[in-house]
Amino acid sequence: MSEAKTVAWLLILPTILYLAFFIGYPLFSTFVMALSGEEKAFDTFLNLFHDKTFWDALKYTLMLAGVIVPVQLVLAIALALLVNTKFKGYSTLLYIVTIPLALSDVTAALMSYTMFSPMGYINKFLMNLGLISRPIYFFGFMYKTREFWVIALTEIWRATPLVFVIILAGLQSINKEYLEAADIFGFTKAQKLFKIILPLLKPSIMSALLMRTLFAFQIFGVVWMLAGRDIPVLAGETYYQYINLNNPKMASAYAMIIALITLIISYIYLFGLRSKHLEEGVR
Amino acid sequence: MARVKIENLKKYFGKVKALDGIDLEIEDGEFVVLLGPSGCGKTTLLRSISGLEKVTEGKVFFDDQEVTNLPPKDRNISMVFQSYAVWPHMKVADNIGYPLKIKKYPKDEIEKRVKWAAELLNISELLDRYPAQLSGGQRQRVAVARAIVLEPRVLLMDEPLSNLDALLRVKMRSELKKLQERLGVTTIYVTHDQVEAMTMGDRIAVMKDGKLQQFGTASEIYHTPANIFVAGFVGSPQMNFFRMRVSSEGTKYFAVGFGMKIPLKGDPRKDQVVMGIRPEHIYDQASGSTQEVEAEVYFVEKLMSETIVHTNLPEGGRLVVKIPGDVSFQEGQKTKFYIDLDKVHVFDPETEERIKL
Amino acid sequence: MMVKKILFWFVVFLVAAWFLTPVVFIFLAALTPAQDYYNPHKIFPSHFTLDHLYKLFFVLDGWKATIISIEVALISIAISFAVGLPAGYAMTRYKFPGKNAIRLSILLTRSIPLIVLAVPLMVIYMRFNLADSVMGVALAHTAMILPFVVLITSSIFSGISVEYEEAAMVFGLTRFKAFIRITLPLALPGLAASAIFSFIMSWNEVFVASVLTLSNRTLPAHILNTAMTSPDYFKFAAGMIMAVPAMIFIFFTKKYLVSMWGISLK
Ligand SMILES: Nc1ncnc2c1ncn2[C@@H]1O[C@H](COP(=O)(O)OP(=O)(O)OP(=O)(O)O)[C@@H](O)[C@H]1O
Ligand SMILES: [Mg+2]
Repeated sequence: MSEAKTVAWLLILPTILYLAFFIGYPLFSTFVMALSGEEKAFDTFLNLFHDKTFWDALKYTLMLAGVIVPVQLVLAIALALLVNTKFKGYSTLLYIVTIPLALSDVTAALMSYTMFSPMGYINKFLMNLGLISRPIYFFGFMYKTREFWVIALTEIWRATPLVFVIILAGLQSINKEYLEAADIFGFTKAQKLFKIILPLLKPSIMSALLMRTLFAFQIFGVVWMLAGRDIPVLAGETYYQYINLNNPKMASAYAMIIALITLIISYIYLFGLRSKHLEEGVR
Repeated sequence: MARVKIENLKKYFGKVKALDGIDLEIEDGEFVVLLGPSGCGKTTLLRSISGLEKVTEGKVFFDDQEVTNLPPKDRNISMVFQSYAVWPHMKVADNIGYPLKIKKYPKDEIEKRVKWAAELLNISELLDRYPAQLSGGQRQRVAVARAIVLEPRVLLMDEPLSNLDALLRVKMRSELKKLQERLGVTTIYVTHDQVEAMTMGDRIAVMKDGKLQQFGTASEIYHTPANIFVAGFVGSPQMNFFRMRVSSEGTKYFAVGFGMKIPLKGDPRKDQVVMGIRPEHIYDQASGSTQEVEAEVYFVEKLMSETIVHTNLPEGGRLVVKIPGDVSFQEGQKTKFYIDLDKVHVFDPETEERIKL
Repeated sequence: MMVKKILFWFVVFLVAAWFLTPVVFIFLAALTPAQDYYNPHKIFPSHFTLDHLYKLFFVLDGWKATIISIEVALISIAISFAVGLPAGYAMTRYKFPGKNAIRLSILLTRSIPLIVLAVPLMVIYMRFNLADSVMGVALAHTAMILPFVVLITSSIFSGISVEYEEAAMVFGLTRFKAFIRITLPLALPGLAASAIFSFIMSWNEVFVASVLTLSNRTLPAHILNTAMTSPDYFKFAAGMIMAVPAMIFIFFTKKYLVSMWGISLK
């Protein structure tokens, strides 16, 4: 091995070791834990598959992802196009839009709760306007559908900025001359959007989509805070099994399922993508 | 100051052979120009000499010391980068003085030399600015100033004048050359501008595809190009080439074709040759030993100081002629030109090497 | 034309309102006295109170949790930059076999839910006496931040031409010194921005922190476990405490926010 290669490996080695110890090994032992036991190896998984909650959790996770991700993408593209017109005061709007980027899911959930709780501002407004006489309940086992939509709304509010920032960065890296050329050739606004901007934006869109889809399958904080287990999700069940039921085996099985789905999705995305289009994520 | 010797230098980037066995011996205090088309390996050769690039094979010597594996900092060299590499976070004065600071020169000495270099390069008013506030040409001059403040054993310059306007370039050319002569520092200078190469270099190394094509003085390169590539690359407009049959009459040999019969100075020992003649070595009047050729004018470029005539020959040949002064030709006109037989070059059509006659 | 302009500003206003309203309301709720909060006819309180914030901080030990949060974040940033910066540098400046595979694996670690790791980590921590310790949480947060640091620093360095470093090497510096004197100062603003972002990541992380600790809880973990069983207005005060520092931090990085993502898209 050449000297430069040795140096490179020495520089990277600490990172690899760290990640191997703190991510690789725990992942491996999750695997082992889920599969081990006095009974047969796959019993934990068999129990899991016979549990209705698991299928509910899977269903709700998929439903949430299905609602959240497309809406976020469309909103983020629209927002990015708006901010990128660089109108007077756009940087203030940029800051406002990116505020949720700094907030944890717990904080976002609390904010949502201020609005939607029985004593929350939405109910107070409506009651003061005389439109309702008793508070509308958005939370509680009886109102699963409402809870679902509040959660979806909160997640859309919280995580659209991440998609937005990636799309905006992509938008800003598009050479202005492409658009000027389009002007010269008499493209309409719609043609410019669909024939030039969006195709050139594809790498950014793909990486934003990948990241959001991955994180959508890890959705937990907002759901846990707002709905508890009324609306079970995979990551929430992991937490519940470990913390509340003290059942690390079952928790590991759930964790395994999440990791597996995540890997499959990454693989699907990566399959149609060159790795340079990939993006690192921040929650 | 040092002699630089390069032995069978090879540098591969994966499958790309950026340098493919270069041998070069540069005298102490010599000004050598590396000339060649884009991508031929000039920058790579310079970087290999500087030690920034680890070579795949071969050796580099400064005087008798082998430096092939010496890190750049221990080679006592100086360099102007093709992209300038003027540090953006330092003011111009700090940029120029930094090499001295690294070598722990006293403060007043640094100041003195920075001032001197800045004056030489006409950037004294810019010393307090950051590179971002400079134009491309100004940044380039900062890079040159930074390279000359300390006396290195070898000075490496990668197209240091490429971004200057024509006037400034001519001025800087002579300034740099004078400076180099005064300092007597061994200099390797990359360019693809032939005028720069011809006027500045003590010797010129012409490269193509990672191989050295010819190493010689400007006069040698111009008058006795080693192969078709060098002959075609140096000179403007390009040399005319014709692939011709060889016929002999007794002990006399001729290159025949395109309506021409050019007497050769000896036996080329080939059935066919490539005959080369520069446009400026074809006249509109007979003089000395010339050979007449009839041609049909089809396009004329008038540059006032000279006239470039593009003509058709029989058998689909094309002949370009450069006549001094503003001479008028009609398009379609048939006219006679005279080829200077002393200036005819003959090349082997297979190896493309020059045939000595 | 006029109509178009009004419509445009209306959209801008709508966007700003959509993102600001929840923030404004949680602040409002956090500063509302209890009796006003439970009065359905009072939207805006008769006066503001710092009572909830005060109680959360001093009666419910919030200040201790805040200090722990800061400790955890600083330790994680220190470790992940110490470990990750050289890797980020190597990823841009060196070519070596397996580089893409490593980049991809580092990327994929981000897709593993931290909860998955918390469980087995706890088992390891028991053995090494790290359970319920600041260091334990910091090490786990480092695992979360490190991949981000490697990828972001690598893209920051790739935005700084190698030739700046090489020029310094030609003029007499070693590679290491050239890095310290030339590349590092040039990278500093970007590095600072990513450090702040790392801080926010650690500051906001709550579930791993709650799994790994009992008495040494970070602020969000502490809040999750105390405020959640307290009256609503305590929850909002907690939300405000968590939101404010993050919002201030992101204000300082806003200049780099987009370019940080922009660079890394290359
Ligand atoms: N780091 C690298 N990796 C792979 N190939 C390289 C690298 N650097 C140079 N090359 C290749 O090596 C060859 C020589 O490049 P070099 O930069 O030396 O050319 P040059 O003569 O300086 O050209 P120019 O006049 O355009 O500056 C080119 O084909 C180039 O593509
Ligand atoms: Mg070059």
